[in-house]
Amino acid sequence: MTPKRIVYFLCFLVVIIAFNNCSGGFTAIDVVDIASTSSQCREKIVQKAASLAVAPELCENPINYQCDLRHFRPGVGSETSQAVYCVNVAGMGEACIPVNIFNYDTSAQQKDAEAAQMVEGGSYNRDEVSCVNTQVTTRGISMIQAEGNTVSSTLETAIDSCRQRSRQ
Amino acid sequence: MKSVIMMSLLALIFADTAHAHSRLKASEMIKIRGNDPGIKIGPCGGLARVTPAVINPGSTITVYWEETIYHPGRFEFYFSEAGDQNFVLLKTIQNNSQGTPLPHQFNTTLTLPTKTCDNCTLQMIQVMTENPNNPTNYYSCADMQLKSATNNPDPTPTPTDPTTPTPADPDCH
Repeated sequence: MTPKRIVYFLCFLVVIIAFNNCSGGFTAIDVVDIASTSSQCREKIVQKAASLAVAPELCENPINYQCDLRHFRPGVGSETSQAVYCVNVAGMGEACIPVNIFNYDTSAQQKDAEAAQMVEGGSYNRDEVSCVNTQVTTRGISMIQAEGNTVSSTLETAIDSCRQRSRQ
Repeated sequence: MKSVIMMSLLALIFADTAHAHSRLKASEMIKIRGNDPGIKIGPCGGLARVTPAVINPGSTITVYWEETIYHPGRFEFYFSEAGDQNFVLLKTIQNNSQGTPLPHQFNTTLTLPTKTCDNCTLQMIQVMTENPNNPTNYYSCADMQLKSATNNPDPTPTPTDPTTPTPADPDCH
């Protein structure tokens, strides 16, 4: 082993020892259980991280986004599936993202619902979309979230929101 | 017993016939804000306040709600003393109704704060966890005024509570 390599090795050892002593070792970040944490608590955690910088490249990579699409419509069944949606996004070009699709058959609601609830866009005849950036997170919670009616518009909202954060 | 029957009848009389994915049901104690079902924008969908229910501070009231489309997740109940701000979590109820006939009917008791307030709000959030990493919400609000009055209706004891309550806001730091 050359003296140069010995120096490198010693430096490496110093870094490892310092890391274990000063950071509490290789412990996991304080990630919350998103599903069981109250919505208010999630909101507080995201607000706390509002001043953190976001790297612009995290906003520009389509692979960092993921959407949930909920169909509330008569006759759609109750299956859950995954698909890849490709949409054109300004400044990004074609973005292909994974989408979780949840179907809720509202046929049973037809008999009791008001007419307005069954027309296109009514609460029993519409789509709801939620998109997140899975890489811009704090304690495991996405700081970039958007909701809307279509995958393309909701994804664009999420990307815009991410870009605005990265410019702060 | 008489008051229980009376309150049940009143709840039926005041119950709104419109349906939502899930929302609070109107009653003498619960003056719901608007009829728009499936509100996706918090805290109350931007809806104007309604004439509030006048309730004694510290009362325990029974809240009724229904779900017409099942979503895994839970119902969170919050209270704001003024201006739809600074909501405090009162109670969380897990949604254990999967597989039972729709619409799902729920009720629970809530103990309100002991302080008086003129423009207070009870908020229910349905947290849907189909995707556990990206929960989404529906919102429903009711307007209240907490003040001592001799002619306020007595808070109703709840006969049954089929849901499972969980501790309020655990480990939020």
